[in-house]
Amino acid sequence: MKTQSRRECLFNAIYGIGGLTLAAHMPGGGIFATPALAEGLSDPLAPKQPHFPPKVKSVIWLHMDGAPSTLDLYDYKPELIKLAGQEAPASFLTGIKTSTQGGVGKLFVSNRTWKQHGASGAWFSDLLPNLAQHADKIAFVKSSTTIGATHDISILKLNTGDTSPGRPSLGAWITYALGSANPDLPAYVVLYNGKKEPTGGSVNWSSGFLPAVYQGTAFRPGGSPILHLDRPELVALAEQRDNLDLLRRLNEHGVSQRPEDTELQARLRSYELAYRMEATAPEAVDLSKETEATKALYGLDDPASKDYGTNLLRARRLVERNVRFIQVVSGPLEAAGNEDARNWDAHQDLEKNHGAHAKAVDKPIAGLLTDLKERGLLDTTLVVWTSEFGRTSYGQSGNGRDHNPWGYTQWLAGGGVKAGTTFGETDEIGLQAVGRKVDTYDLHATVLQLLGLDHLKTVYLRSGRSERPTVVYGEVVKELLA
Amino acid sequence: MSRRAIVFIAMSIAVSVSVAPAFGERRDIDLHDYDDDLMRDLDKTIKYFEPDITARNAQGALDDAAILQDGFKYTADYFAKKDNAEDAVQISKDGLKFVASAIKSVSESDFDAAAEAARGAARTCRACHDTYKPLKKQ
Repeated sequence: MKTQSRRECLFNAIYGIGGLTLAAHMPGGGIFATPALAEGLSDPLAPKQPHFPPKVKSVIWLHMDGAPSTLDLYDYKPELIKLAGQEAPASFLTGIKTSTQGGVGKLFVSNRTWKQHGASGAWFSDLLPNLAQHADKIAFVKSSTTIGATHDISILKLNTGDTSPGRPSLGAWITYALGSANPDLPAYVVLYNGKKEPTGGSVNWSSGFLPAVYQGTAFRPGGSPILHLDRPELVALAEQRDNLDLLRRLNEHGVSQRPEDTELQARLRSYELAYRMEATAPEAVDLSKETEATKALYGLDDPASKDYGTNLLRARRLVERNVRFIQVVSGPLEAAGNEDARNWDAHQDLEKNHGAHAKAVDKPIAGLLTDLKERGLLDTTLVVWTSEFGRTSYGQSGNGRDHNPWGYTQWLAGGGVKAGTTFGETDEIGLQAVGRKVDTYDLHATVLQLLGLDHLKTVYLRSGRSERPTVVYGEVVKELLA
Repeated sequence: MSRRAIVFIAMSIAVSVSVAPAFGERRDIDLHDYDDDLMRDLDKTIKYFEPDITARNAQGALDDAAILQDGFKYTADYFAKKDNAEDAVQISKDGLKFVASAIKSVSESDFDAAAEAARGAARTCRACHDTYKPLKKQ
């Protein structure tokens, strides 16, 4: 017979209690998955001081899953329009490996109209009429580059800085460096829409080699973001509290015998957070008290934008509750020009795909910016619009575009950002970034800077090495800072 | 400001200037005979170098430096035999200078200067791959 230590016995027993098994029902395991890994810290989520005064308190990281063609949203290229239907001139293809799937087709333009908006004169296509009204709040990065041309690899790099699993995600680094500003909610939340987890899965909100308490907690789409959050039907509140109190007393006794056992301390904290979240988490994501006007602002009155808008409204509510990092991943759409639900990955029928996806996100993102501004939150919140890569200037399948890691657009808005500006550019057909490029490491360094963190000093000692979020790379893009 | 710091800054500027033109101009070149295993080791080691220095793991840093020196020397010699790849030779030599500077600083227990030099070495890797990546096997 296998014998269990008291610790294993308690762990298994408690994780068997329905009301506390939140982790088992959270995509990716959630914050409670392995609290025992929180070594070396008495309270790993205690608030910590940044390196210098921060510009923002929270980040909303909008990942457009599948890689939109920013050539069809922001990066207006008259030369591409002129050359459409022709082979891409060889000079534009120099040095890039173009054979991800379908080779190099002829230069392609979609049926777009373009207009400049705001005092900044930023270009937007007709796919984003609502977001275009916020041109002067945005700092564009039009010379984004990354590594890899497959989604899983480049999404991993976007979120963790590496193309292989194992490194912490940006949100995990931020949670590690700053701790939690709300003891009743996870400091790092992931929101997604669609019927399944986002491409690449939970490794994209993993804590990597950092203690597991810093990983993101994924909230499911729909009315019950966290399954089984309610207390089990046959367990009364007092009974549950009594159970937890007994457990706490036993664990505290254990801690007093072995004060060096930080695993047990971390587990104690997780049980209590789970208990508190039973009350706080449903309220944090419950939209019933939001006005109809607010819901309409986020596009909840339109089936096309309702799901994504719901996530962004939840994101705003989480910002109000001092959640540090909210990673929002856009989901696949069934009406996006394909037999199966598909994300922004428009290898074919870009018109239909991007038409549907743009409609799903345009009003919600514009609504988020408006709402944050009106509530006085935009000055202390950073909104980052990002994707794993962009799409090629040349066509694929006749009416789609292939993956493009060589030059694409991302943007930032919010506190500390030099609004109404554009940094960097792509070549005349929008295929490759020219001049100074902005890699994911640079974007991460800049986000950390706005949170008051020096990416070179945000270190974690791992096996005798001081690891940092930007590996051995990364430069703050000072031109993006106000 | 110490003399050593001034020398380091001057060297960094000089190397940065020599590395800078590599950005933005990609080059197609037959690299099929480059030692891929060595490049993988370099890729791994350059990611250990600064973290070892920052953690004041002097022995680990010196071990990393030895691998990087071998790699930069191999790369400089390799590109010296190619036509029209003088920039790659220069970048490799710049990498060697940064590694040598890091070794010197580590031996003097000046880990801040060593870390800065290690970041310089990592920048040379990126500068070269900006021009010569992706590797095209022919």
